[in-house]
Amino acid sequence: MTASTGTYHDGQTSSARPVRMRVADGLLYLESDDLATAFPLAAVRLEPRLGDLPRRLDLPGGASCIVSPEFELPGPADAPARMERWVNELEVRWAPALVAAGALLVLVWGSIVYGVPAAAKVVAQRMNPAVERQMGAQALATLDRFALQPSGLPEARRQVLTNRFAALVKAAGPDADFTLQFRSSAAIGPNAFALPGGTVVLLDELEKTAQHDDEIVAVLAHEIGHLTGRHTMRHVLQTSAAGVLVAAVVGDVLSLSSYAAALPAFLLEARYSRAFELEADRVGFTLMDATGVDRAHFVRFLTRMEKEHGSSVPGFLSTHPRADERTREAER
Amino acid sequence: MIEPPDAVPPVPPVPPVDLGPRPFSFTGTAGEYFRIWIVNLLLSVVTLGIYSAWAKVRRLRYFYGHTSLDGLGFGYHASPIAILKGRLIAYAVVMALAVLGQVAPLAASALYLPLAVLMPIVFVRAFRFRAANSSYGGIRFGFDGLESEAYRVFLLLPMTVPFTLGLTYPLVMKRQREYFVSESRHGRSQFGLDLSTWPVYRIYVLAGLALLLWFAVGVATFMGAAVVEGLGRPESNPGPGVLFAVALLYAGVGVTVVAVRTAFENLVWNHTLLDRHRFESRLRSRQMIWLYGSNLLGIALTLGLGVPWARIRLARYRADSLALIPGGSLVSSALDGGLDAAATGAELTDAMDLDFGL
Repeated sequence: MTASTGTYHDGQTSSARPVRMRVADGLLYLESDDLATAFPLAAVRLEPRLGDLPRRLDLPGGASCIVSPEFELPGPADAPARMERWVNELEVRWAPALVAAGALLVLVWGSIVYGVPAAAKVVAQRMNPAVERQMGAQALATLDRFALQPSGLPEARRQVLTNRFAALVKAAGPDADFTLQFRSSAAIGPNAFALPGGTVVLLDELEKTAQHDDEIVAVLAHEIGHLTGRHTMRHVLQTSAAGVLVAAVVGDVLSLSSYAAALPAFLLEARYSRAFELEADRVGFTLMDATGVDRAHFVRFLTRMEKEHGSSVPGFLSTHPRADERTREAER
Repeated sequence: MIEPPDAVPPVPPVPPVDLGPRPFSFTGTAGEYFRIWIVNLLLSVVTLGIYSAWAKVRRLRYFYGHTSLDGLGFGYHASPIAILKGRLIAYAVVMALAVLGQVAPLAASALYLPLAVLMPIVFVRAFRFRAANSSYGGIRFGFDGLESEAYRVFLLLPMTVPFTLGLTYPLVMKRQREYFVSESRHGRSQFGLDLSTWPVYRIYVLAGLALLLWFAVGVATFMGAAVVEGLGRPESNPGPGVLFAVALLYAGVGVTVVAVRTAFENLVWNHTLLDRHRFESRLRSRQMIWLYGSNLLGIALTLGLGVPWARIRLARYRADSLALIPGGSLVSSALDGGLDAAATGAELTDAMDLDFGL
C-alpha cells in the first residue's frame, strides 16, 4: 500500500486540484476536501519516468493526475514499462551517457571511414554498366558545352597515343574496355581525367607540358587505375551516403545546424579522394611495369607539375596527395 | 436608535481574473537532456531504428513536460507503437522507390506523381496525430482541418509559385500557417489566425533586398579576390580571399533565412487568438542569429554532441520570448465532456507521424 499526493485534472476543464492518493484492494483512491473517487488499478496507466519530470497518471474517462517522479504503482510492470525503466536508469547517470557518446562517435567514425566506402565499393561494382556509361556520356557532353574545346592534336599524333593507351588497356585485363578521348582547355590546363563508364579524356595542354611520351603514358595508366577502381562512382556514392548518415544521426530538428555536423564527414571525404589517388597510382605502376614504362616518368611529371603550379591549400584539405608522398610510393 | 440593517450573509467574493500576461517557461537543462538524448540515440542506432519511436516520444515528452504556462504543464501522449507503424510505412515507401529506381527508373518516376497527390492527406493526418496527442492542463489539443482545404494550400497554391517567379510564395506561407493554426483547438477553445497580406510580404521583400545587397558585396569580394589571387590560372587552388567571399555568401543566406523565420514566427504568434486570449512573441532576430550561429559552431566543434545543448537553448529562448495575454478566465474545457481524447486516440493509431514544426 502506498500513500502519496498529486495534482488532479478531471479532463473536463483545465483547472487543477491537489489530491491525496492511496492504493488499497486493487483500487486507486483519490481524495480531497470535495472529491472522493476510486479507479481499478488495471485501468490506470502511469507514464514512464523521464528525468526529474513529474509523471502523468492516465485515469479512465480522460482524467489524469500529475504525480512526483518517484511515484510507482504496486504490482509487476509490463515489458514496455520495464524497458523504459531500464532506459531511465541509464539516462539519469553520467557514466552510461559518456559511454554511449564514445560508442556513437566510434560507430559513426567507423561507418564513415570503413562502412560507407566498403558499401560504396560493392554497390559501384554491381552497378549496371549501361547506367555508368550514360552518366559518363552525360558528364562529357556537359563538359564539352561549358569547359572543353576540341583537340588541336594532328591525327597521326592521336594515333600514336591511342596505340600506347590500347597497350595499357590490354595489360589491365580481359574485362577492361576503355576508350581515350582528346580535348583541350586553357582554363583547366595540363590535365587528364577518367569518366564513369570507361572513358579517359586527355587535354592537349598535358600533351604539351609532358617532356616525354612515357610521361603521358604514365598519366594515362594512372587514369586507368581510377577506371578499374570505379572511383568516380564510389566517390559519388560515398559523399552522399556519408552526408545522409551524419544528418540521420544528429540532425532532425536544427536543419541549419545539421550542415555543421556534416563538416567532419567533409574533412574525411578529402582523405578518400587521396586514398583513391594512391590506389590509382598503384594500378598505374603495375600497368607501367607491364608495358615497360619507367615509373620515374610519373614521378618526374608530378614533381614538375607541383613546382610549376604549386598548392596553396594544406595537404590535409587537398584532394590530391602531395608529390613527395606519391614519389615514395613509386620507389617501393 | 436605528436598528442596523439585517446582516447580509457575506457573499463569497468572485476572485477577479488576473489579466496580466502569463509568460511561458521552459525548465529543461542541457546536461539532463544530453544524457537522455545520447542514450536514446545509441539505442536507436543499435536497434536499427526500431527504438527511435520510443526515443521520439521521450524527446517530445521532455520538451512538452518542461514547458509550462500559468502553473500548468504540457503533455505528450503518443504511443511509440503508433509512431513505429507510421515510420515503418514511410521507410517501406522510400525503400520501394529506391529499389524500383534502380531496376526501372521510369516506373519509379511515374509513382512520384500519386505520392505527391497523397502528400496533403499525409500532412493532415500528421497534424491531427500531433494535436490529439498533445495536452495542456489535462485537456487535449485537436486539429479539425479538412483534406480538401489541405489540397488547396499544400498542393494547388504552391503550384503557382514557379509560374509567378516566386511572387506568390509569401502568400503560400501565409495561407498554410492560417490553415494550420485556425483549424487547431485546445479542448473547446478554438485557435484563430488571420494575417494581413502586406506584413507577410514586407518580411520577404526586405529579406530579398538584403540578400541582393549581400550578394553584391559577396560577388564583389569574390571578383576582387579572384583577380588578386589569380583564379582561373590553370591548376590553381582557390586562395583565402575567394574562400572568404564564398563563406560570406553562405553566411548571408543563413542570416537571412533565420531573420525571415524569426519575423514570421513573431507575426504569426502576435496575430494568433485562442478564444479571447492573445499571444505575444518577442523573439529578436539578432538573438536568434546569434543562437543559430553559435549552435552551428558548437555542434561542429563537438562533432555533433552539442545538439542537445543547441535544442535546449532554442527552446528556452522561444519560451522566454512568448507570453499569453488573457482575455478572460484561463480555464478551458474539453470537447464533449472530455471523451474526445479517448475516442480520437484509437482512430489515429495508424496515423503517419512526421515532423512539421509550428
